[in-house]
Amino acid sequence: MNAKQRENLRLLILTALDASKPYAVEIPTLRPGLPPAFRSLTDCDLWAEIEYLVEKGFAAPQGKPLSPENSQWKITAAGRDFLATEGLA
Amino acid sequence: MSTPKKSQDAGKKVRADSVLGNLSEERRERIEEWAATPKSETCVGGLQFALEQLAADGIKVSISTLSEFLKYRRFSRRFSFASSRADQVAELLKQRNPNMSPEAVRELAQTVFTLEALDSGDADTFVSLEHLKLSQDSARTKFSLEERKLQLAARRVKVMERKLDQLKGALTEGELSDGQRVQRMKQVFGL
Repeated sequence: MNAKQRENLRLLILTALDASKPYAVEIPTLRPGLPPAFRSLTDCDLWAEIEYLVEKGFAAPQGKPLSPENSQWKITAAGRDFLATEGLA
Repeated sequence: MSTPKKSQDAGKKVRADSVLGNLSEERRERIEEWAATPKSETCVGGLQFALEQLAADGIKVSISTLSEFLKYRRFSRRFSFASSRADQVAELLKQRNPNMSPEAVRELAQTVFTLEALDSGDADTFVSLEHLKLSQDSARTKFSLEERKLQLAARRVKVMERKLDQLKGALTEGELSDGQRVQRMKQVFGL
């Protein structure tokens, strides 16, 4: 995955989190609708990109903190603002 | 991730290159409809048609910009749909079970959302697989057509070889006159 593709993937995840409001998104729900270029990505790959969004303050983990396999994420206000500047909100 | 490059106005820092993103929801939906228009004798259809319509509205974007825009729209629509279905279920639960705690309603709605998002994804996968199957069928049909063409060509070659042998025989028969040879040649070629 090159830098441009990585940026596209992060934006796709963020748009999914935004469209899902007020619900939280789990990794398995992201995978099926991804464009073909990203279909071969593993859960770990997706997890890493979501973690990047969390570190940026654009996404926040939800659900049970002691059950990492059930992790869910929601978009934050900063994430929504960022999408708005990208014209994707 | 890129940072905002240029602001269109001071209060609303929207990227200048996000022309389509700045349009109203109604117009964005219209663009999707244009892009989904099938090709016909009178219409180029698809992205090209959408580009033409946008240009007629005074909006000039590249085909890659339009394609990217549609990619994000399609991806997020699955989640919007799942979210609105979960909202409907939550509403119904509240109406039919007034004693249910808001926490329980929220949890159930979240489950419905996840299932819906997974389902619509399966539908997408199903559509992709169907497209793949169709293109495989089409490739198989093309292959069998080419195979039949080759068989036909091989049969033609055999017929020509037989005719050439007959012609050789006709031309090497010493006792025939020129007129008779021409007659035999015509017979061989069915003239």
